[in-house]
Amino acid sequence: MSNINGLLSLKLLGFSFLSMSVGLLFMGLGRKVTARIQRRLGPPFYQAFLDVFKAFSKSSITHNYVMDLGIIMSLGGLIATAFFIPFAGYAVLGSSSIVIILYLMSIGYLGMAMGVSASGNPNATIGISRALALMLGYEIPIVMIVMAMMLTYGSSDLLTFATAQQGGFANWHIFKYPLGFLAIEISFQAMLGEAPYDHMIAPAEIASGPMVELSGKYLGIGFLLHAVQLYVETGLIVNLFLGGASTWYVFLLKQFAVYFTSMCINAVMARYRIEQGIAHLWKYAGTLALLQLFITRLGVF
Amino acid sequence: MYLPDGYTTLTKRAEKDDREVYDLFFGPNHPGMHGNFGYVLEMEGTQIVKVRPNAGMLHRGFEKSMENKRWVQNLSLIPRVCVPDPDPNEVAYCQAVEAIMGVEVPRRARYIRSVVLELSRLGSFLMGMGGVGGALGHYSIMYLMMESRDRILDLFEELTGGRVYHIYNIPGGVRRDIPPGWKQKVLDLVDHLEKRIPEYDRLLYENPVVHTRLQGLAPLSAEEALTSGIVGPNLRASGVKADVRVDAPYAAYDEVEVNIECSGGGDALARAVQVRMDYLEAIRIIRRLLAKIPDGSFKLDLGNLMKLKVPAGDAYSKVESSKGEFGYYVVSNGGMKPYRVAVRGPSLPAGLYLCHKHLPGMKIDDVAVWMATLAICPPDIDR
Amino acid sequence: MKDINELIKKFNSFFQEKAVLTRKYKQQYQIVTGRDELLGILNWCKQYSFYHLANIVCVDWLEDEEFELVYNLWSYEFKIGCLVKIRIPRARPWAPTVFELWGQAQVYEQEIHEFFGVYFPGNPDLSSLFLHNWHDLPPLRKDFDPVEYSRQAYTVEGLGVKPEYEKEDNSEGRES
Repeated sequence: MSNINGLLSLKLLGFSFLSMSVGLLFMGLGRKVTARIQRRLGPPFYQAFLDVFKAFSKSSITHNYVMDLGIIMSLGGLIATAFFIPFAGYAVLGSSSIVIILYLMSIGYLGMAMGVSASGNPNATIGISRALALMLGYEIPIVMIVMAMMLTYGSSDLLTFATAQQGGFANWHIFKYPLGFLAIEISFQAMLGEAPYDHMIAPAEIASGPMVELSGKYLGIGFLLHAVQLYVETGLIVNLFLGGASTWYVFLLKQFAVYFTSMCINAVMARYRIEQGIAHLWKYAGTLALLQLFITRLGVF
Repeated sequence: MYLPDGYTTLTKRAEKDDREVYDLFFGPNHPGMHGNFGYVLEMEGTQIVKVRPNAGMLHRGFEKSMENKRWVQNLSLIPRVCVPDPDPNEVAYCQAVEAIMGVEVPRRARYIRSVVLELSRLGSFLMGMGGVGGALGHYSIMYLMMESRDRILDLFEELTGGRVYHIYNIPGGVRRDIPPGWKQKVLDLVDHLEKRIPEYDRLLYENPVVHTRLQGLAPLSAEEALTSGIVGPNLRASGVKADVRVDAPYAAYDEVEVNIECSGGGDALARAVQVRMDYLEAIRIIRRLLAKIPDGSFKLDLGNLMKLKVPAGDAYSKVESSKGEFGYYVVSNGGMKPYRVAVRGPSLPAGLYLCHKHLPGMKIDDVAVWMATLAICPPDIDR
Repeated sequence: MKDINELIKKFNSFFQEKAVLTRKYKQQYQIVTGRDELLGILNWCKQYSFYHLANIVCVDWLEDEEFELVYNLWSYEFKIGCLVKIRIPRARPWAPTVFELWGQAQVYEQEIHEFFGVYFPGNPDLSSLFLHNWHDLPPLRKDFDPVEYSRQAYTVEGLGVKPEYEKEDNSEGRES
């Protein structure tokens, strides 16, 4: 009994490291991509690792224990989500229910909200309230698409969706549900907080929002948060629409392809005002997702 | 540390929920603020209720220290009044001194001054347009424009020895003649910059997100702009066809054609578009100037400039900088040092007066964009 | 362009010997007048197309015991600039506010009040704009010596310690 638990915890530890390092690698590569679009050389691809190591080697300022707890809760919530994302067809906990994933994902932001509001800086509070407001905007389209898939397969397991797409490009959901894919691409931009939905960390407006009070190790955890978030959300899209993958490098490549698209859009877009952003999400992503849901439902019955 | 009355720290105030209005320090240390200037925004949620300009962090007392330096020594202080666009300061000051002395600058020197002014304008416009992009979270356009600006700075380095602060104009002309081959380099650069404009259009001026953000933001009617002391591109964007280069020609602008056009509309989008139009016109003016640049002497012989004595008198000289009328009012009592030098910066009316009209009611989202489109440059408020 | 000479004639006949509009050089004109006529003249100027108030400059004439205020106008119609100059006594200096004619004059007057100590009755806000906790002479006056001030304010013993005149009222208004 204890032997099995030991193995499982080792696997979970391995998985959390995997999700962090994949996310950090993507962050570094993303900076490189942005730099090349802006005709710069850019930092080396491992820069994000250096940033995190440096941040963790520094002393840091905390305001109260709620801030410590909130940040840890945020990271914990996101890593827990990562356990449910099937990596190359392998779900570490045996289950990969999309309902649990959607539920756990919001813990990340809630923990962040708790932590940075405790710091008392109005910039951070505005930033996190923007993030939560934006969540209203993108969760609705995503839930509608997930509902469409659940209707089709009669299951809420992400792995089922992924395996159903095996056997060539034609089976991929990106071709089966093109409207849904567009909707989720728009929502994904908002989920990651990239332009035109980078309201949460708008430097020129609220001085990088939640990050404004994070120093040293807290900033390091902030980086890790983004890294895990990146892993979770790209993994979600790959499993939902790009046919999953049977080998780890194909999975990573697909994940990076999703992130690459996002970075390219990010580099050529300005930022909406927050109310414009939510309106835009509901208007376009919401309509596309609703149409998709409608079409799928017609197909089922 | 300076804190307004009734404060201990910012955190304390934000935690305290007994008042609905809280204070947010927008600057002096803020990514959306250029220079060490700041607004204290009294906010209700994300809406601004009242604004208090928090100037003085950048005040270097130039007007006082200029009274204690000789006429020529001041030239090293003057470019610092406006960092991104330093040459209009030098030219305005030198022209004021020349007006008091009653001397006429050689024709070649006037042409060289104009070329330098226009190049400086291009650099400043690039920084300003990039600043609009930066305030909107569109960093690609900012990096692209900074790269273009660096090419202009390279040319300045070749001409004057300095990249940012040139200290090139002196009373009676310019410090040295243009080096051989420089003229061709300027023409090549100008061609390059013109080729880049479609790229800027695609990224910034035709970007639908930028349009949604800027349209209808902080409207400024012509009447309001005139009675608020707004000048330059901002005034032209409100529909008033006014430009110092045309109205009161200085340097070589009386001999070349300057076509000014108004974008009209008066909102932030009109102001952003106006800068692009002026940018294109500046490129054309450089071509016209370089085609007509005459031979001859590039400075007057005024003896040892360190011992320069300016007869008693006063003069106001103004120059169209990238942000509008930049003026110097110089008073001399016949000594080796100025009696009084007063700077008229183009950003002061917008930055300290118009903020009370525009910012209340605005959301925090738009403060940086408002500053960037009005081209508020704190160094000339806090000189 | 309208006739500038006609404008000058109109001005001189309107104000008679109280003020004279003269040409200085090129497009620059000037009016030398007194404090009592200032508002009337500026009003007249604004009516006759001098819409733009570039700035207000104060010059400290220590030997004459006077301050000189220069209102820097520009007419977009006639394309001429006009310097309206008044002299006010250095003791208890004041001048009428013009912020009702030009909004931005409020800030210029605030600045002059801060740096020269000239009062502008009627100006809504003459609080300190650039200087924080300043209790010395207004710094742009000619009898203010910056070197002497620095010697007093920034001594070795005084590092971290505020100068004498700041000490007493520094604690006020700081507790929240």
